[in-house]
Amino acid sequence: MSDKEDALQEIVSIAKNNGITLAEISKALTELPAKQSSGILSKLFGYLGGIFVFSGVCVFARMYWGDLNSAARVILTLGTGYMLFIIGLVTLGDPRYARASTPLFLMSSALQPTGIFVMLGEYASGGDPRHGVLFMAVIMLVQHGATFWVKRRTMLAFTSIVFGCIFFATLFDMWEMSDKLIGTVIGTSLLCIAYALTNSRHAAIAPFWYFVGSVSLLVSVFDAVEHTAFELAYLGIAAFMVFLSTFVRSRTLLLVSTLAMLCYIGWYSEDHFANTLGWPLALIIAGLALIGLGGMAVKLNNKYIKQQG
Amino acid sequence: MALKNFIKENFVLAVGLALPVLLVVLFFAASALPKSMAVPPQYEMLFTETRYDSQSPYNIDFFVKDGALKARVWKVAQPGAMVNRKKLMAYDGKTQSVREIPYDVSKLDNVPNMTEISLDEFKNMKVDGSDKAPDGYEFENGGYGYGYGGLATDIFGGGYRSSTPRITKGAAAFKILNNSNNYYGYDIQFLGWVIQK
Repeated sequence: MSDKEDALQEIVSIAKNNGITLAEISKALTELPAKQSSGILSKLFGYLGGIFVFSGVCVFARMYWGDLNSAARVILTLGTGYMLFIIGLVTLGDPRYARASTPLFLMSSALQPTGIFVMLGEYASGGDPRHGVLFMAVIMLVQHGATFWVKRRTMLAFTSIVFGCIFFATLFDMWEMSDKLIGTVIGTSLLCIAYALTNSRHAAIAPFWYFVGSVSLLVSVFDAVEHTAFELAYLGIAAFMVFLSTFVRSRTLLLVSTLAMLCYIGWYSEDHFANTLGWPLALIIAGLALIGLGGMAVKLNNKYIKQQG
Repeated sequence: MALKNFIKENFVLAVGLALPVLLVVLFFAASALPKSMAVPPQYEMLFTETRYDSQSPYNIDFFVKDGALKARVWKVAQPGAMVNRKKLMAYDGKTQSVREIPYDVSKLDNVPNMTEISLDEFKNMKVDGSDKAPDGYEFENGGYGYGYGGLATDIFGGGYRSSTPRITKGAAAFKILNNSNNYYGYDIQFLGWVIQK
């Protein structure tokens, strides 16, 4: 297929995921170019303004932190975060300000957890600090998850996944589960969620979660099988993930799984042949394998991911 | 019905969301159930923990010998200096609580350093110093602190790893928490099982 056909495929995929009709695409094709320059400018100033506001709050907090009492500290962090969240919700109701919601939710997602920790630090004492993390994660997960359920914003999907992961990772850690099991379960879970995101209007955040999920899964599996009879199974899993990347059409997954294979081959040859006469030979073989795998990754990307994506 | 349709239409997403929840359920099945069905430990477990103290005139170290609780004492070089004083503790599995067993070394008079003594408080106490209690429970020590906890917990959970000291029998495990409901530190030292108080 040509580049043009690839682009058309992508347009069809985006239109399907976002429920955009042919008429809306035609209308946008005639109207969007005229709006583009003001759109970029307003976006740029919007983000810059958001950064300034956020920096201002942080600098103010840092300057006067020692002079503030407990309630003031909580209001400054948790209160500001909560207000930003409310303003973010309000902006969603007006198409003119809807774009401002993303930075508002982002700032709120940083300030509210900080505020909850400040509140616990000021008013609670003793106990396991992880209970505080769990408390924060539950509150944020419920807030962002419920809002996402109603508003369907990609930013809220992202933060919901983050707080969900914090909740489960902390819970499993408190229960003293094996870190390998935690990584494997959370990694697999994130891969499934990323696949679901790919086929939705929130596809923009799917590569990030493919990255986090696959790295978490592969590192945990490696830790589990390292220097055991099942060590070679890691290579099999990495190879399976290369196949999976072509199935789910994810370049991120392809990159991570190919790198995982390369790293494993490098590690294996160093671990087993470093002090033998065959080491230089092993290096040459490993180098050839790396070149071969790299070439294979490019071919897979061109054949199965780029054309169908 | 709506849930069934949601799962049908978003099967992979449902699997992704269900996996951690399934792990929670499996964890309960594998840990809480055996504990609830097991007979609690019948013997108190004796252990020491270290506390910084400037009041004690003696350093003291407990150990079990010939079924009795003994102590080895030596004088603090400088009176009033900070020393690591051993607190004698007992964990009761029936109530799942820890209590401190007080003892008094102030009445010891001119005991040569490193002398083995039997404190009056423990003259009648019989202690089994073996790893396994007569009822089959065993002590497992743990560690506590920051460290490598795996990639997922390092990213999302701060890598705050702990392994709480506990007594176990098969799949049943009883964590040893102090009276503030905190986990004990790494300085916990197992002594034995109280057969007779």
